[in-house]
Amino acid sequence: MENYRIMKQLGQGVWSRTYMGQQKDTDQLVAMKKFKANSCDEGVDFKALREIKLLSYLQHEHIIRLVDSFATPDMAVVLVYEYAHTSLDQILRNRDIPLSSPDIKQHIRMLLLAMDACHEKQILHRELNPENMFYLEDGTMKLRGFDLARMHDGKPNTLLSPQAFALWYKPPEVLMRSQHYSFSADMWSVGCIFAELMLRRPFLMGQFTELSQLDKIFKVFGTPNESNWPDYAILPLAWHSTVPVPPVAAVSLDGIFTAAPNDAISLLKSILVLDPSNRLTASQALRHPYFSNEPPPTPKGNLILSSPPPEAN
Amino acid sequence: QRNDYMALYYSNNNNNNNTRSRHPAMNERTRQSMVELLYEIGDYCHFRRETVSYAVWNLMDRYLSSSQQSPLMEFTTADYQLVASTSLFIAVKVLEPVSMDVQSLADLSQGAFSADDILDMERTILATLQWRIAHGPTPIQFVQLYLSILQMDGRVLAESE
Repeated sequence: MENYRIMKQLGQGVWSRTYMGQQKDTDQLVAMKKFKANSCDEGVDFKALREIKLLSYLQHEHIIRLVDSFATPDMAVVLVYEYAHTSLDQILRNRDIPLSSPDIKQHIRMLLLAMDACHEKQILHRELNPENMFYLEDGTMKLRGFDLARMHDGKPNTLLSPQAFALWYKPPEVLMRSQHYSFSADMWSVGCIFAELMLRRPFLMGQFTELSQLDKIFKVFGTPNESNWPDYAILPLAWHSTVPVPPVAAVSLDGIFTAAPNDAISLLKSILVLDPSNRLTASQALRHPYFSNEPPPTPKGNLILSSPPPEAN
Repeated sequence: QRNDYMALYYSNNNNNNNTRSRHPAMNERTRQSMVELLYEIGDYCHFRRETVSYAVWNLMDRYLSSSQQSPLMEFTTADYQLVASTSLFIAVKVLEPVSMDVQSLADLSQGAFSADDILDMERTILATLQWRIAHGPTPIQFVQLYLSILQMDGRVLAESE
């Protein structure tokens, strides 16, 4: 801790607090996540250890870099990351920042590159949302938020907790309490973020509960049936449910994303698919014509990340 | 059953105490007993064997071979066992869905060290390794890789016969 100066608190989670700090020797800005010291006698927080292991294994241009980690005298673990000064969430909410089609293409491209790197190394992120997409000053997107991430060997018998993913980005199979979801679950979240970039508001906004979120999803993609999701019936929630859901047909995404180019909608339709086994993988999505078609993605250095300074009078 | 093992282990090593090496306890035989002890605990707790090999290769051996071990420091068999047990404690946190009760782990040492000793050693090991705990390849991973290649391509199997 003596090597860093804490400047201000950036955020607070259930298990940790995040600070903006500065390395004393170099003046380099850093983000510091301090895990709350355990009250019980279990020693170093296992979540911190897992995150360190994952991040050192996952070194990639679009994944946040861990600069340092240490324990404080009071048994709290601190992880030090490179400092990123804004997030996609802040960009989307700032109406002064324009977001053109080529900008969107670059944002989603960087997310897919990060996702491909994770999945290639068998890591499920499980918490993709605009708040976890951070940007360095040069426009490079850095994926963060690996608190819930885990190694997944892809074997179908591995049990996974349904207590992951933020509600609006939660895939239907996880909402249906599947414990056997896989990399395609992250891709659903990618699709939701892609849709949000185009709409400039979250696409599927359920009201607090998982059932309401499922309802939102079914109203757009239709209720699951034998043809659009053959494995649906074996999911725990479908299996135990005694309440019949009145069938609803899917609506066309073209009618929702009226301003989006055709190739973007075509990619979105191949990612946001009810049946997880029919969703594109990250590497397949990167090969979609959307990325080779005109216009090319905005060079990341030209992305606008913050509002222009007020004009001088 | 495990207590018998521990008793045997200690009696064996007490005979070794007059060896005049730099660290009498740091020899091949002690390491062998430590590895066996960790596998025994791991199997008893139904941990994956991968977790134990991670503890041995990625934590225990790396810590012991680090330069910060002063040659003047006394290093006994109990110290070795503390390093081994703590390595397993860390490995379980990193790789298993459950955690190990630190008190039970200390009890297994029959008074050689306490739960607090394990928690102190945990921080010492992590600091010495500079928190670099990424997964290096372990022998089990090589075996799994070879097996997956053999399964993928039956011809490899046929050719090797």
